[in-house]
Amino acid sequence: MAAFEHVEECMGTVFVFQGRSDLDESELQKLLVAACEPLHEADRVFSRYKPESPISRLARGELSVASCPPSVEAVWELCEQWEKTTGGYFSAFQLDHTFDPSGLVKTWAAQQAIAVLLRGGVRDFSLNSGGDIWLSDDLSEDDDWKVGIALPVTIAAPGAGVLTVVDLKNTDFRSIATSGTAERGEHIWNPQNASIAQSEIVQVTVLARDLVTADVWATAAFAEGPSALNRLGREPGIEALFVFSDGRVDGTDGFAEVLRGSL
Amino acid sequence: MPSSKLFTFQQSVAGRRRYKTSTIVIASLSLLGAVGIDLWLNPNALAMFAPTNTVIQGGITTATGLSIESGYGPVQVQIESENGKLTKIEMVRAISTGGRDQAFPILIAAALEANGSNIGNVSQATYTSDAFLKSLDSAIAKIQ
Repeated sequence: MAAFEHVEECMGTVFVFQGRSDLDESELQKLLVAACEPLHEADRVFSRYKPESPISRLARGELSVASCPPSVEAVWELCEQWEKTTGGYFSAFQLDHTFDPSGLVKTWAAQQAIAVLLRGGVRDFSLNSGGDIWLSDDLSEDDDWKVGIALPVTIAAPGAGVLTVVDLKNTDFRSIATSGTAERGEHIWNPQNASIAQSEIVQVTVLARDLVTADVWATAAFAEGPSALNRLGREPGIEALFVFSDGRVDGTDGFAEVLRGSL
Repeated sequence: MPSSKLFTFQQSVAGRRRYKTSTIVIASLSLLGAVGIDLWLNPNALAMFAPTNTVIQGGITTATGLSIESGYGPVQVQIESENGKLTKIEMVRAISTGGRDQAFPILIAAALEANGSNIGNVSQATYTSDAFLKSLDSAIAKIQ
């Protein structure tokens, strides 16, 4: 088994595949290229930054859903389902009814990339899709099961670092997604500032079995605000950790269990 | 509660450093502000600080603190040390309902202390490839 690492730039972010494989070098490279194809395809179809993408043309009314590639309808339906599941807090439909599934497409495409590698016989690897992490069932290195959760500051900041660490070995969770404004700079996060009367969420991290579930719930919780803690606590199959603007941290009971198991 | 100051998340961020092990032990043991107040008001409460249960096996010392009743339910901390170095901190008794505000900062700090240097990945709000490259540059600069 040889260790490998593959970094792919796509959708304005970075996808990092890391693991071990007994395929020979050229076979593995070919498989990695094939695994990244769904990422680039999703970018071509769903990018709102590309004026000629089907999704941009759909937004301008130049195309109907039926005349878009079939993946558009599939993602549309998936988004509708998630909107129901999250009580409306995850929505791919903007106020003017424009369809913008960018909150889901990255991890949706990442799951396809994962499937390509698994089918090709690579079973011992992790995928970091721009900060959302997926782990395979067959990770052989203990350290790979340990996932850090970033402080709510951008990774480019000098003070970037890790808030805590969860060890997902011996849990049912294989995915961890974090939502927040750290990378967008929309809120200046200042836990020292006691003048913030009502604490807002600055970051939500969700554990789930698959990447899309973790990603969607993290986005929904962030949109809902502090009351999402109760909602996520009732939802089966997921656990969550919240960081508030006044520096407090809180989470679901099951997340506390995972932390205890991580000690 | 004065003890809560020891392990607030603010402090870990403001200090830009990982928690010192000693801080966590102190934080864990002084988890309950009530304990300090009890001691002050009632000398009998000193009984809570009877020697801990210590087991030495194969070079590893395991010490279990007493179960302390708090307004948040019982709390008990177990630590392991090897060659004088603290290697593991565990909450052996869960905090019951209502203890979230207390439990989370401690668990978060303890998990970081236990695993902070051995992690495979970091979960983070989606970063741009630009932020990724900047972070990579600074990491490389630190190594050089």
